[in-house]
Amino acid sequence: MNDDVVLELRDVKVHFSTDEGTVKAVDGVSFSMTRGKTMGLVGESGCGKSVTSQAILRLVPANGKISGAILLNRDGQEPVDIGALDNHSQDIRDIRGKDISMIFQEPMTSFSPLYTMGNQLMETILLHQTPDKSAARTQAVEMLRKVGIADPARRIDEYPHEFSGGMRQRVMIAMALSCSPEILIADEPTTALDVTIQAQVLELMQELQKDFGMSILFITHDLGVVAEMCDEVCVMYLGKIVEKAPVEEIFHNPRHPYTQGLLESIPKIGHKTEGDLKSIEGVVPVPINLKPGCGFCDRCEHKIEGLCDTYNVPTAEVAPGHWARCFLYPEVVEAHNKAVGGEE
Amino acid sequence: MNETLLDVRNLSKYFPIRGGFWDSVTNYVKAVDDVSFYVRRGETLGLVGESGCGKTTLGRCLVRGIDPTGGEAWFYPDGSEGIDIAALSNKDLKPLRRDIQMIFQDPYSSLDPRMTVFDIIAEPLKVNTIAERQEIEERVKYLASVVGLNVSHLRRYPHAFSGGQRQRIGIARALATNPKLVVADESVSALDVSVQAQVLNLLKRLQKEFQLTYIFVAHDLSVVEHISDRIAVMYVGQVVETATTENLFKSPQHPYTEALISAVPKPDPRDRMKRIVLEGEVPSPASPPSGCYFHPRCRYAKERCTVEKPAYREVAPEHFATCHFAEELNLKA
Repeated sequence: MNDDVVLELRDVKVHFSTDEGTVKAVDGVSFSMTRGKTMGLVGESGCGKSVTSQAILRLVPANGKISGAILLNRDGQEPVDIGALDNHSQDIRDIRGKDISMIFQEPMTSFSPLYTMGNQLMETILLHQTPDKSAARTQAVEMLRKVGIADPARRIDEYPHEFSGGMRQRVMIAMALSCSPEILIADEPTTALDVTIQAQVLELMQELQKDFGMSILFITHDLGVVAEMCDEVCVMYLGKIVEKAPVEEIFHNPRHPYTQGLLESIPKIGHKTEGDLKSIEGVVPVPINLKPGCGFCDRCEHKIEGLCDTYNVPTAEVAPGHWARCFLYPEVVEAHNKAVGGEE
Repeated sequence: MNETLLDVRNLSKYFPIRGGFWDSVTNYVKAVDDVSFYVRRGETLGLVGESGCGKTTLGRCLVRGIDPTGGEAWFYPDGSEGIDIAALSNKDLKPLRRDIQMIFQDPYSSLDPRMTVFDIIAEPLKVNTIAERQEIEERVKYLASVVGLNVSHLRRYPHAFSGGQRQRIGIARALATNPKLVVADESVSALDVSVQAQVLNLLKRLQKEFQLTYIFVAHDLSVVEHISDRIAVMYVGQVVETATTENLFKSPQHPYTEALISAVPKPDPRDRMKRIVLEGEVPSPASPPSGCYFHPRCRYAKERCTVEKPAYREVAPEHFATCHFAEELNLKA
């Protein structure tokens, strides 16, 4: 495994068995994260971006089954396959919060209202770093100072309800970074915040990334935030990555019709246009008992009859570092022919 | 015919805070504080601001979902004679209800789960005795097709529809009474971007078809820019700036507007420029700062801002702002 790669997902699937059938929330996702860089995971609600991040920490609900390899590459150690670990094993517990930590979307509900902020912050430190309570407290106060909480020595003893939304999100970041993780998973960290507060939190995350050198997996549906924060982007649709490319490429040379549609459907600030926004017709299908074929083909204007609606689309490199899952590109058709030829 | 449809003058809504042994009123939350603006016939006025700035409360005062504490809101339904919505009693208000309608934010909780879509859209027709039985059916089917709902799905319940479709149901319900003014409160914020674009396009089309006037309340500046002809920016219960969309984005006259525009992440990685990051947070409308409410976070604040409350004044033609130094600052978007 390349040393620069901290985390690699290979054909990861998360399937939920329900009464109506199997929900393929994540259906064959592969990507790798580079040390110190930010990977963006974008898509609309229900595309599987949050479940992907939960799978990395094995936090999916009990009826979900994870398959595929999730390789964590820690400094100077053998890579660990998180996909093969048990949900309750000591190994995964050692990884959670120490090597990989997570920031959640809802700063209101992700803290326990019954414990002080300090208590919740120190829990991670006590678990992974030091059994000494006063040392943990000192470290927690220091972390709070780093994320810009004024008067941290006093505020550490306050309860979550005494903090505003933006401040809670700062504490959550402090908690996630308290053990200097290799990877930070940020699941819609600024969605619940106002724009001026969002700007503060994004700024803070960029500064901390410079200081701590962690890789960030940034999950969001806001393309503006992606353009601002990420180095590389994966666009997800119906549990699959439909396009993966460096951030410049995604915004200036999008290949997949879904990515193109998404970019055209957002109004751009400072560029008021008369007339209609281009929208993607139809809605995201329910991921139960899906037919083979491209999940997007019913909404796509470039649909090729007999191809897009019959065969599962493979992914191929359409330009250096730019992967797409769409039959419009000869590289993809070639990969498809190879796969079909191999079966016969 | 009068060009103005709605003229709001010094409108206020204070919510009392009760406390102490006798449960007496100790203070007020000034959710809407001395707000003035006007809306022209057939235009869209965008109302933007961060959470807690009073934009929803203001919208609700205008449909009289809540009663304003003070001020006037003159409504000119037929062009000539004005009616002060803020002063009407509930009984006198009833004939006016059909002229002012609302589209809500949450398509999941604003529809009664025990009513079919047909009944939901028909309810305003029945309540306002606009149509008789046979007519109701025709009218509901017409409304459903106008907003792009499948007419054969009208007997279904709201749970069977997706977020975007539910929002269409809410729009059809608002249009049922042939309103003149529609207050859309964060009507697209709960939707995914691709669906959001569909609903925005629908709202624009309906505006032309039915000569509607919108007050579009939202926090997303890029959406507001897209749909509005003019924009009012709110901060801690006050309107701090009103201007045409073009002028507001080209030459904002209030430092808060400048910071707000700058804070929106641009969907272009080549545009990664230095944002204006505002320090601190929005003050509570129960205990706002002295002088200009924005001065603790303002980059340009001077001595005068901390003591003297700036007036809401016309700083350029059609361009209103609440800042002492609007002319001198030369702000850029």
